[in-house]
Amino acid sequence: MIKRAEMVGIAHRGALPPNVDERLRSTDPLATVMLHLAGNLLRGIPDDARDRVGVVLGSTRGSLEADIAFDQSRRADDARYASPAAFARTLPSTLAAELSVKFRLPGPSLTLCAGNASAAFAVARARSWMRHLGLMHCLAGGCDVGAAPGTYRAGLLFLTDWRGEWPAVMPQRLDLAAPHDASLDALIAWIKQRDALAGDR
Amino acid sequence: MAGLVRRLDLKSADAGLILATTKGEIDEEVAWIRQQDAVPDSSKPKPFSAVAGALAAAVGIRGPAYVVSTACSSGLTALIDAAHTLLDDPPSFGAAPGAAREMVVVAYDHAGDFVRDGFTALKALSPTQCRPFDKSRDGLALGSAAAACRISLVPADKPAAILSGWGLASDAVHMTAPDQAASGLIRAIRHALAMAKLQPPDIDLVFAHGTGTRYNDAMEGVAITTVFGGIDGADQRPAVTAVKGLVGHTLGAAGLLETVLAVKILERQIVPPVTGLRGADRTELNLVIGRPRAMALRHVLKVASGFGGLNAAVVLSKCDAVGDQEAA
Repeated sequence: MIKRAEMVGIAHRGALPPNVDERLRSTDPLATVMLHLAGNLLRGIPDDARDRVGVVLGSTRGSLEADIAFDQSRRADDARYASPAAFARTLPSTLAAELSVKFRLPGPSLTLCAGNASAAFAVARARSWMRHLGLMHCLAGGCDVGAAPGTYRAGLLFLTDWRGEWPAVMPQRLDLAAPHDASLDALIAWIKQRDALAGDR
Repeated sequence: MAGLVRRLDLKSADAGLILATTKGEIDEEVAWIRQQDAVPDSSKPKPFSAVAGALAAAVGIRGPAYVVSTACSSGLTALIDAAHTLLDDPPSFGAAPGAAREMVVVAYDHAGDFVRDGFTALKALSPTQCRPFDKSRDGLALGSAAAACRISLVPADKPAAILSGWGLASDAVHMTAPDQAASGLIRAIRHALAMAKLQPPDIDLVFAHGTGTRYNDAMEGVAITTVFGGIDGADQRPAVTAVKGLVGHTLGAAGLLETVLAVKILERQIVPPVTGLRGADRTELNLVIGRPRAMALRHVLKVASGFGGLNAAVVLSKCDAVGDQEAA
């Protein structure tokens, strides 16, 4: 069913990539990384294709950083200063929702956690969802905070049904951070290998 | 939760398990966060999926076990993903030859201090009573719950209900507020109906998400009216009920808990009233008010919506209703 898959994998230590589109920045650094990846993959997508794009993401830590931020905001004065904006992000599905909002993707969305196999599960479920829900495309992959503070890891595939006519998107530069989600690590390694085989474009 | 799963009478240990939740073991995570602030160390909190693995091990499930988290639509989304898993060809996971493949869906959430402080910050909690669809509704009430169900493709005995159709869609409009045009929920409902090969008049009951907030209930009213409003006469349209006025908003558990209640409603052919509702603000909805309503029920539509504009809808049908529909 899926004969084409183009992907972007990128991980950064601390600073975000210098070429991040300002319109794709988020208050959450991990979200900014995912938005950057998705922006590259979705560049040029026609409007009438957007409602047939699903989003399936895997994460081992859920919304841990957002949970920390909200918990810090609520500790003083009996939660008088608890941040509603911070609480709104304390869901593992926030990233997928942000992708849907920023890129106007009204299709189905799934966020799952399968430990060290989260990214692999996400890709497997994405294929299943495309078949059973009649989706033409699906953004699928994994994202997580890195093992070291301030690091983020993300790998994203753009899956296209064999009937898709939308041209493929070229892979982007890749930089590995410390392993965390083992299947995410494998996904990014595969992206890097494919990039190396394709050569400079 | 292990006790709930054991009561499902699984036919095989080769079942898969999907656990739906929004915050999982949040109390344990907060304890780790606070401990890190006091004395930082190199420990890490458990992966979000740890409880799924622990539950699978406790009940002897050998198939895949993972967590689905899509805000307050988690329960229904997990149920739909379980159905997809069973329908995958080739199969997503192995089973003994000749054994019926099954999936267990469990949903739970605990509305502790973390969650309560969050909804307080959002000013979403009712200071009085949760009154879904009431013209003077002023917010939601939180609840903690767990629910479980078993689904399979080939039942060994007569199932409680058939999952005959489903749909999922995103609003893609706002990170927290629902789309007032209800575009996502309308798409999800229409996909569920199309999949079940049903038309709007075939639905006897809409089991709404009905949180009691001004925005959610307004959005749902738009969705139900848009899909079913073409049926002449409010009393001819599907009945509408919601139970969060009774059990509270149980977050990730809500979709599955209320699906289990919908199955019971189908069995008993009695629809409970919308708890707390006194005067509806949308008279075109056929809301069940004040007293339970006995009625012939063949197809029930259950819906759920969550933060980020995540919408899910499933159609639950009586077994003989599905048989008649296929014959037609």
